[in-house]
Formats: sequence, structure tokens, C-alpha cells
Amino acid sequence: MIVFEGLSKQYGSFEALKPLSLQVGKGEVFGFLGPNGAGKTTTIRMMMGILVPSGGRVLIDGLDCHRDGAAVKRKVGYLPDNPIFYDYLRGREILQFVAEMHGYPRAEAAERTARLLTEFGLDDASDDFAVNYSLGMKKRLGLACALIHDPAVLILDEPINGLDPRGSREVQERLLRIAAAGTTIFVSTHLLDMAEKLCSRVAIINKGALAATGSLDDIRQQLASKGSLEELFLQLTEPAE
Amino acid sequence: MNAVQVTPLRATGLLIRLRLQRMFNVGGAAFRRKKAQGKSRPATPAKRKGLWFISILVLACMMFSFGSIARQSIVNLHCELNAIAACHGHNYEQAVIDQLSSAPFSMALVASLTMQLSLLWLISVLLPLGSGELSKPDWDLEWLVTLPTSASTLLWARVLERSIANPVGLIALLPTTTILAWYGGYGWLAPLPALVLSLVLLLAAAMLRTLVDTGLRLKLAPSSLGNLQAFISIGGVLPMYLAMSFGMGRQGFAFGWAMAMPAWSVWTPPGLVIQLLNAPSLAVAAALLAQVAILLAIGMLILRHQLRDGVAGNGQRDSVRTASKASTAAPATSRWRFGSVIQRRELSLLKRDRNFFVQTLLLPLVILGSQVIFAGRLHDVGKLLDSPALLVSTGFFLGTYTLMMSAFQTLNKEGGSLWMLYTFPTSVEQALKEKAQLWAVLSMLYPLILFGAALLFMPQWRWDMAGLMLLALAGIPLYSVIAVALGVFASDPLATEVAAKMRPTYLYLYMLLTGLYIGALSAGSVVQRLVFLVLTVALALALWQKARDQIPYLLDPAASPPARVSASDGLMAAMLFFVLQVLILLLLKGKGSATLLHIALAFGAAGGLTYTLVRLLYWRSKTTGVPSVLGGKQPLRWGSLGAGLAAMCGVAYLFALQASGQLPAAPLLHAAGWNWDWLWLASLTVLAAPLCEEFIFRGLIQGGLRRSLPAWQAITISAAIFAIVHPPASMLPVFVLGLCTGYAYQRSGSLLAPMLTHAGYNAAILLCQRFWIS
Repeated sequence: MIVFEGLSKQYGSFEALKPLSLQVGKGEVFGFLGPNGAGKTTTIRMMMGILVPSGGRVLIDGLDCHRDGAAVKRKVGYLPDNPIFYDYLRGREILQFVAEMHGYPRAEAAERTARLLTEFGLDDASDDFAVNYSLGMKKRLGLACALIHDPAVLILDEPINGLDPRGSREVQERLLRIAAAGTTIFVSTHLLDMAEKLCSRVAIINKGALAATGSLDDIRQQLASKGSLEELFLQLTEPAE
Repeated sequence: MNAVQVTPLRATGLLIRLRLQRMFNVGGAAFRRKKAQGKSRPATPAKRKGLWFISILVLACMMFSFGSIARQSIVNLHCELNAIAACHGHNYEQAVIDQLSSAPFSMALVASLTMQLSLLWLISVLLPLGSGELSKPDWDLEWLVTLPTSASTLLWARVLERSIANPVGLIALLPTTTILAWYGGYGWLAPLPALVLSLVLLLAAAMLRTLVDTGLRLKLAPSSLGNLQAFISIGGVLPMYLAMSFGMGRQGFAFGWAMAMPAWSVWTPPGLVIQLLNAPSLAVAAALLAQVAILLAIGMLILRHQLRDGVAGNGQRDSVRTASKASTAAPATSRWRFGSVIQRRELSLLKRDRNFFVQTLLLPLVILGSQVIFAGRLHDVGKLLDSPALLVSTGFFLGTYTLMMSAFQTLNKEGGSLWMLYTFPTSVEQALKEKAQLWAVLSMLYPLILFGAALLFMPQWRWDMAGLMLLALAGIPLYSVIAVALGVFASDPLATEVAAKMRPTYLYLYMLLTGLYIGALSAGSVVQRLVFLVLTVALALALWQKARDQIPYLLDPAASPPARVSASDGLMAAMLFFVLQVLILLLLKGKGSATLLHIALAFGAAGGLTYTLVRLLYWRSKTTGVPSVLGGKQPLRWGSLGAGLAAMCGVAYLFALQASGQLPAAPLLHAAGWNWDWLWLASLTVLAAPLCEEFIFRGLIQGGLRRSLPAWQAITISAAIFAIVHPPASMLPVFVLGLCTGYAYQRSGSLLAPMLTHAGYNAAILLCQRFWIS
């Protein structure tokens, strides 16, 4: 479903992402792990056409994310790490806007909006300006925006970062349900217990380079280690001397 | 070592330093030393080089003009009050000033000047309040109270810091107080007492400002704060115009108010400052200090009362609950719907964001209105009808001003939520296009009203005025496109500091371009206006193309689009080609008159130089899509086909001209026998012109436009540009030639085809004029 072909990104002379090749299958929940500044957000932004790759490409369902950007976005839902919404627009209006931008007629957009607002527990706040939302509410609204068009692929950047325990539990359960329905999920995080709970396969990147990939068992075998994901992670992302 | 308790004085000093440092960082970024480049991610290069020089220049100009307004105000008020004989005639100001400097001011003059100084003082309160600090969601006081100082130290420090770091207040007060001190006999020391006394007034201003903004912060939610800030910023314009109107002439109605100032007003702080500047006196100084101290003390009491429940801005999350009850779900259907999804969103933002609304739709009216009313020029309105150029320029100004605040800000307005546009299955360019359309329509509003009213009140129908109006209205969509495109270059969506989100250079460029169009409206023949319209279309398209190339890189901190042949390259090459021609011709002919040989040589050399330079630049920047002369499909076939078609039209046009008796005389062509000039003319038209011009007009301009436009549009526009660089008599056939060459280039993909077409056409015209037309 998602194919990385030597995708790379440089900021001037700084290599944010070294050529990355990966494949994510249909219906997989794929964890993209790495410490802060490893290149996770850069990778995701290239998948969304927000950044232009310096080299290589990434395909979603056979479509180039840079060249066929518009077509890719019909299939993809995206939640950024820090969703910022328009001033002076209410939660309901933002969701309605996103639905209409995805081409739903007004009545259906309103119906979808109402359904997702209820699902995400935003009914009470739906008529407040979204800039006044708390971080948790913004993330929930962002997730609703990402899901409004029933995407086949969901790209999430740190979806539970900054949420309280209940909020993060809710999001994780929702993601499991979405995955069970056959949606491919590509999720970046540095929260390892979430990755352990959710992901069928993970990739660990460090300083822009792929350090390991596979299911957790695969990685354990590669490292001949029996430890938890946290130990693997620390071992793989150890700062170079 | 243990940290010691910070004394209130030191805390105040630190806070003031922090504020000044911030001001310096915002305003004087150019003075900062460059950091050594580390190994890690390099910062985006500074793009504001050299602007500090302009800022200083602008500041100096402002101080100077405010000073001269202050001087003129004093003279005007004095003359109006005393109706003295010296106030008439030629160059009377100097006599009046001598009179004023020799004796202390009359109390009546002090009273009326108090009015002016109070207005200036009001500016020093309102403009900083309206400057945008209010609309920021974070309130710095919330952070400052977490520092280990007492609340009273903090509040006093805040007032002090705001009196010293109030550049707007200083710009408003200092020129007037300095002039007053000068007349009071302080001589070259005048700025010193002026500064000290201005600061005393600014203390009171800072206290009032702090009271107002604290009160508002505690009472209002962030979104209403933003709206209020917009109205305050408009409110600040009002006293500014009133204060300035004293210096503009003696008709403004503010004079009536100044005359009616009560006698006791000279004992208010502004009045006392004027007295002190006029004649130093201990008693007056003591009165001033006592009054300001009492005001500050009262202010501090109120401030402490305001903050009795602690420092917590209203509206972050607490207001959410209460607000939500009031509004019910909006009725989802049954409304009449306008435009696209993006356009509707923009409109609802405009409806709710008062700041945006005021700046785009109200401010142009306020500027125009205050010009008319406060400067006492109401009777000038009638003049608009007599001067079509002035009327049409005013309408065009209103439209383009709206665009500057809206279309130009398109990307800037998206701000942090720009990412959303990248998640939709439509291109970002499409969103920008829809916004450009929307703002083109909205910006037509004022010009349409103005022109409609003018047509209604005009004594008789005037075709010239109607034509000008059409030209102005045609300019507005074009400038909407230009504004959106320039706005893309101007805004930096990654910047965090408000001041850095907009690069002012592009704003100046936009204003310069609007000025050019206004110039084209007010002068020139019909042909010149047509030329300018075509150039504006080309410019708008070229800028749009550049902006479009930029879109995928907007959120990229480092990368920029790869080089590709663009229409703007073609426009610049064309410009260079013509400038070089003129320069080389001047060089060649020296003091004599230019011969055909000179012209042919200049043309060829300019073309060769331009070609070499463009190819060199393309080679250096690894540009893709450079037009090729050879290759392509069947260039000979398409070239000769084009040549036949164009030549037929050209010859037909020649005969038509001759039949109607409008054929310009061309003695050279009819000279008996052959001579050298003939050879030069033939080589110029049949050889040099196709070689040089086709590369620029077909290769670069049409080829560049083709990247973002359908073929027929690219061909038509490049043909139009090609036509307008020719003399008016030949514009029409040359336009047809442009279409034929364009078509030949489009079909063959080789520059050889349009070159053949061009050469064939020129040869046909030359021979036809030589042999068949006499």
C-alpha cells in the first residue's frame, strides 16, 4: 500500500532523511519509531506533499505522493503532530469545510460532520472556535478531519502525544477498530508502549537512517535480545560516541 | 553561590532591558551579528539585507515631516487666534515665528496647543494598544508573575517599561515638543527638555494603556480582543488626522475645537508641558510632577483592584463552556450559496474577524474619508467629476488597497493552518486561484459604486471617462492575481515572529506596480494604455507562474523550486533586448544620426548578447525546458505553412491601408535601384529579426506560459506581447504573425519553424512594399 523508494531529504547540507526504502502492506498498522529529531515528521510531510523529496519517491496505492498529490489525498487521512486550525471557525464548521473540500455534497458533509463530532465526544464544543480548544480536543478534531472521507490509508504524526491517559486510551482503541476495518495505518511515535500495543510491524529510524525494521519479534531476533521494545529502542538509537 | 533577592530597582531594570531587547530584535534584526555556521542544520539565509537603511531613512523623513507639521500648526493656531496682520501675504511664516519666539505664548495659544498635544498623547496610547499585542493569545503578564518579584514591582516596572519603550509615542510627541522648546528659547538643547517632558507624558500614557489592556484581557475572550484591537487601531487614526489637520491649512473643523478649549486646560499635564517648554518655571514643573504622580498613584490603585483575583486572562478554556450554550447549530440548508467551498470559508472568516474586515473594507474608506473631511477638502469632491484621471485613479486605488489587505495576505492568512490545504484532493494552486477570484469580485465593489455615482451625476456622457473606468476595472482582477502571487513570495509561513511573517519588500513592489498602473490610467494615448494593459496581463501571468512553482516548497525550510523556463524569463529577456538595442545604437551612432547599418548592427548585437546571456544563465542554473532551434517535428513544413498564412494576411493589410490612404510613406523602399541600405534592411528583417525575436517571444515567453496555460492562450498572449513592441500601425498584422509563428512553434516543437514563418512574412512585406505598392 505504501512504498518508499529511496526517499531522502536534505535541508541545505544537513541530511534529515537518508535514502529510505520500505514497504507497508494493506491493512497493516505500521509504527514509525525514533527519537526526537530522527526525521519522522520530515518523512510524513513528504508523504503528504508538504515537503518535496530531495531524492527518491514514496508511493501510496501506486501513486507518487509528490507528482499525483491531489489523487493521493483522496485516499489518505492525515493528522499532524500539532494541528493548528483557522481562527474564527467553529469545530463543526472546520469539519464541514474539510468534508466539502473532499467533495461531499453539503447535506452529506453535514451528516458526516455530525456523526464524527458525536463519535469523538466533541458535540458540546462543536460550536466553539477551534482555536480555544484544549490540546486533546484539537487532536480529536484533527483525527475527525483525517477520518471524514473514510480514507484507505491513515497517516498519523504522534497521535497521542500530549493526551491524558483516558484520551490516549480512547484514541488507541479507535485506531484498533479502524485497523480492524481494513484501513492501513502509518503512525509515527516515540511512545513505545503504544507501538507495542498497536503495531503489527515497526521501523526504527535514528538520525535520518533506518536502524531496524520488521515485527517486534524479528527485531528481537536480529539483535539477539529478549528485552522489551524500550530496551531495543535504546540499544538501536544509542548516540554515537 | 546562592541567588540573592533581586531588588525592585534591578528587577525593573531587567524588565526594561528585556523589552528593549525585544524591540531591537523585531526592528533591528539587520544589526545582529551573524552567527558562525555550525555543523547542524543551517538557518534559512537572512532575506532582509539592507532594509535597516530604508527604515532609518523613513524614520528620519517621518520625524522631519512631523516637525514641519508641528511648526506649521503653531503658526496656524497663532494666526487663527489673534487674526494678526502678519499672517497674510507671501512667506509670512518666518515673521510669525520671529514674533512667537520673542515673547512667551499667550494663554489662549497654550490652550489651543494643549488640544493638539492631547491628541498626540492619545495617539501614543491608542496606536500601541491597537498594534496587535492585544490579539495575541498569550499574555506576557501571566508569565511575568511567576518570577520572584513582588506584584507592585512588576506593575511599576511594566508602566516604566512601556513609557520608555514606546517608539510610536516618541515619534508622535517628540517633534512637537522639540519645536515648542525651540521657540521657548532652548536653542540646540531643545531636544533634551523635549525628551524629558515627553517621557513624563508617556508615563501617564503607559499607565492608561496598561489599565485598558489589563481590563480588556481580564474581561474578554481572545477572539473578541482581536476584534476590539481592530477598532482601536482605526480609533488611533482619527486623532492622528485631527492632530495633523492643524498643520494642513486653516479650514479644518478641528480649529473650532481648539479655539473653544477652556482656560483651565492649560493646567492639565499637556498644558503644563507646553508652559514649561515655553518658559521654564519651578512652580509649573512641580505642578506637572505632582499631577502625574497623583495620576500614576490612582492608576496603580485601579490596576491592583483589577488584579485582585490574580493574573489570569479570560477566555482560554474557561469561557468555552459558557459560550457554547448561547449558540445553537447553524441551519445547514436553505441558504443561498455563493462560490466554492474555499470562497465561502473566506467570506465567513471576513464576517467574523473584525480585524480583517476593518482592514480590507473599512480602512480604504477611512483613509479617503479623512483626507476629504479633516483636511477640510469637502468641496474638492466636485472636482473629481472634472478630472476623469483623478476619479478613475481614486477608484482603482480603493480596489487595489482592498487587494493589498486581502489577496496579498492570502497565504499569510492561512497561517499555521496552511497544512490543511495540503490534505485536500485539490491543488493548493486551485485554492489560491479561487481566493484571487473572490477578492477580485469584492475589490470591484468600491470602484463600481464610485464610478456608478460619477456616471449618474455627470452632466453628460463621456466616452473617454467610460473607457478609463473600464480600464481601471479590468486592472483589478489582474492586480488580484499579482497580489496573490506576490503575497506568496512575501509571506513566510514558517516564521514564528509576527514581524517576520511578511517581507515588506514585496509590499513595496506591489504598491509600486499599482502606482505604475495609475500612471498609465492618468496619461497617455489609447495605444499606450493598450500596451500597458497587455504588459500587465503578461506580468500577472508570469508572477502567477513563479508563485505556482513555489507552492510545493512553501513549508520547506531549505529547498526551492528547480529552475525551469518561465514566462518571466522571457519578459526580462525582452526588456534586456530592447534596452541593449538602445544602448548599442547610442554607442554606434555617436553624435551623428543613425543609419540602417547602425540599426541592423545594434539589433543583431543586442539579440546575440541577450541570447548568450540567457543560455549562460540557464546553463549555470541547470534549467530544464530550454527551447531548441533544431529538432522537433517537420519544422520546414509548419514553418512554410505559417509563413504563407502570415504573409497573405500581411499583404492584404498593406493593400487595405493603401486603399484607405493611410499607408505611411517609406521613401527608402521606393528609391530607384539597389543600394547598401537595401541589403542592411533585408538582413535586419529577414535574418536578424527572426533569429533574435523568435527565441525570446516564442521560445521563452510562449514556451514559459505553456507550462501553466493551454496552448491557444499561451500563443495569443505571447502574440499580443509581440505585437505591442511594434509600432502602432503594424500592431494588427504583427499580432496575426505572432499567432502564425506561435502555432508553427506549438506544432513543430522547434524554433526553426517560427523563424521560417517570421522570415517569410518579413520578406513578403518588404518585397510587396518595394514592387507592388507605390
